[in-house]
Amino acid sequence: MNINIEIKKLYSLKENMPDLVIREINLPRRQKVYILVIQTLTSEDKVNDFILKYFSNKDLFKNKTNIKKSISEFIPAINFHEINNYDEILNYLFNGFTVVLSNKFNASFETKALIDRAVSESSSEPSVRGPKDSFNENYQTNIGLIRRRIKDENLYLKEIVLGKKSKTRIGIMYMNGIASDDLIHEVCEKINNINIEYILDSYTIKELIKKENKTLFPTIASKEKPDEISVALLNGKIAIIVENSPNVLLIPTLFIDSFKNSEDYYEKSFYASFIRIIRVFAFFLAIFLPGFYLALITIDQQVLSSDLFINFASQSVAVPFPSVIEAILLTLTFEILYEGDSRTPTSRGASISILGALILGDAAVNAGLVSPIMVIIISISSICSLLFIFVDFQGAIRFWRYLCMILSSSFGLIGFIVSFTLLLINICSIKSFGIPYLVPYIPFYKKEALKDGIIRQESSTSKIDKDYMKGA
Amino acid sequence: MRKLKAFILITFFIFILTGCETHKEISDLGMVSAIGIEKKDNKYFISVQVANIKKSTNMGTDNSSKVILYTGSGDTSFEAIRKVSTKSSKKLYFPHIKLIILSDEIINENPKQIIDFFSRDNEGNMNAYILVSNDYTPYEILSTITAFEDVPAEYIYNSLTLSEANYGNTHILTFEDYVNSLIKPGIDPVFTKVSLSSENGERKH
Repeated sequence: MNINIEIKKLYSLKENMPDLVIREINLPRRQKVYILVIQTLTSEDKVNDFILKYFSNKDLFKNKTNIKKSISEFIPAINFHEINNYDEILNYLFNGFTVVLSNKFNASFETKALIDRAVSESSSEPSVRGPKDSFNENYQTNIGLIRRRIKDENLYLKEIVLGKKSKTRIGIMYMNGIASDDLIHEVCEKINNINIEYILDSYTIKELIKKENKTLFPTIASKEKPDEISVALLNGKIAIIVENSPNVLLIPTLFIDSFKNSEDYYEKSFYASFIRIIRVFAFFLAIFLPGFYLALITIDQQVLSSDLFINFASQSVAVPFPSVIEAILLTLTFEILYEGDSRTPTSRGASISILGALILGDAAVNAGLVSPIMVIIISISSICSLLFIFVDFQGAIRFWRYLCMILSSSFGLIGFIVSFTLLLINICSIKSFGIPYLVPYIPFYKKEALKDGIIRQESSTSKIDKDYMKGA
Repeated sequence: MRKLKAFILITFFIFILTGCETHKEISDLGMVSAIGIEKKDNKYFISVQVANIKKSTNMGTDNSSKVILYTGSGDTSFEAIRKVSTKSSKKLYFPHIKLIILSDEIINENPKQIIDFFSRDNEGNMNAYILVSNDYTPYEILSTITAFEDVPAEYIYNSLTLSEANYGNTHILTFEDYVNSLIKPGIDPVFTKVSLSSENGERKH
């Protein structure tokens, strides 16, 4: 490849990209070397210390005629690639490499800058007892955090580059021998078929490879903690790591995974099982409690005992709206409160909580706009839905809660039972990449269900039996 | 897309045709705890004890009674009960009814209308206790103020249940048992009689 044409093209690029630095170095014996660097992506120390220092040492080049040999053997950089065409130059430049061009030989060396935040605690998935490191936006760091925990040669990694403009690197990690081959094949095929302009976060990939399931429940989970991902990898799941994204995707995700937390593995199994049972309970409370109450208040008052009837009636007398409107208003106000809470910076967070507590808790009841029992019920339901860290799951809970409220307030307890049945049908019909959603309970795998389902047994040294991950 | 349209149409029609037909706000219902029926000159007199549901305020205790007594009269029991709506602002709600107090004449002559009214009702009220009052009219019995309970009907109800379990001298007849004993051959209904025993209005049977 003719170096002069390339250099002219690169100089013309420099007009609109002032951080592209091109440096000419004249070596003895009339040889010229061009060193190219995109300044904002590389660390100056590395470029200066290793590459330029070497080239400024003219003694080394005095008697050598073979530049290729000297560059490839003497420059101290471990990641070293040879370049063959113009596209590769740009590719390596944008990935933070230093490109060395000369008449006979072109090479690139890795000198990436550290423009990421440090490996720190995760803000969205806090942990009390276990390891607190979480993924950050650097692709290498994320893979390193996982490799540190699974020091096995069977941990395979497949790299794919997606996105025409963003050229994001995607890494698919799995344990060879534990993960099922069909699953790996299917996932790789789906990712290879993605044709998109840019990828900003792992969520885009999640949407693109999700199967048509017509459900709101998540079939692909995204996690920020490497210890959870390592456990999942050893259980036969596949992890997808996306550059510039701290969320790592896990395929497949089952219903039971939303009830698990990494903290459960670092505590006594009795306590962990107890907490998981409470989470299941909270799931049902979050969805069905407002609907049940509405059904009892508006249509099926026969079910209440006399004391409850008088209690609820004396509270509803004060409220000018029908109960359904009151419930929906309160739920919407809670949603707005939560959304505001997550968007305000911490410097202003205190006033929102005071506002919410005062307005909703006190003033609205005293002003006679809502009844106290409705506030209690809606807030119990909302707090129960906060138990699930995974935001997709919360979205599903929200939808089913509204559906249950509408059906119960129109048709009474029959509507309530209908909404319960619909939810059950929906959950039972989901298949996450070929595996039924309610494994290991339906179909029942006794060993798995007892070991790590709702009830967690003590860690044992038994071999991992992953038949159920082979698909149905 | 076609399926979605069909689904939306069907739900739309469900809501428009049947609507929320059985929708009743809990604050619009007057919970009936006892009903007293008597018959004079071929006319039915009905007195109904309804829970007095007010706004629960936090300012001290309010001294008003917890129940209100309504009366109505008519040629049939049905008309008499519906006539109560001229006096009451809330719709009478019978499923929580605890006592049905009948006077002598009704039982001896023809209780057909009363049985009809209560057993054909689609709101469940077959658990109410049936009582008979001889010396005093049901109206007087229902208007006495009792100890312990705010609602006099509940006082009678609880006392009857307690004495059947502990003392054994009382026999409770629910409306359902009454109707069943009328239908089956060989069993006759046995009523419990209620009356006022002193000016304080103590109940004794």
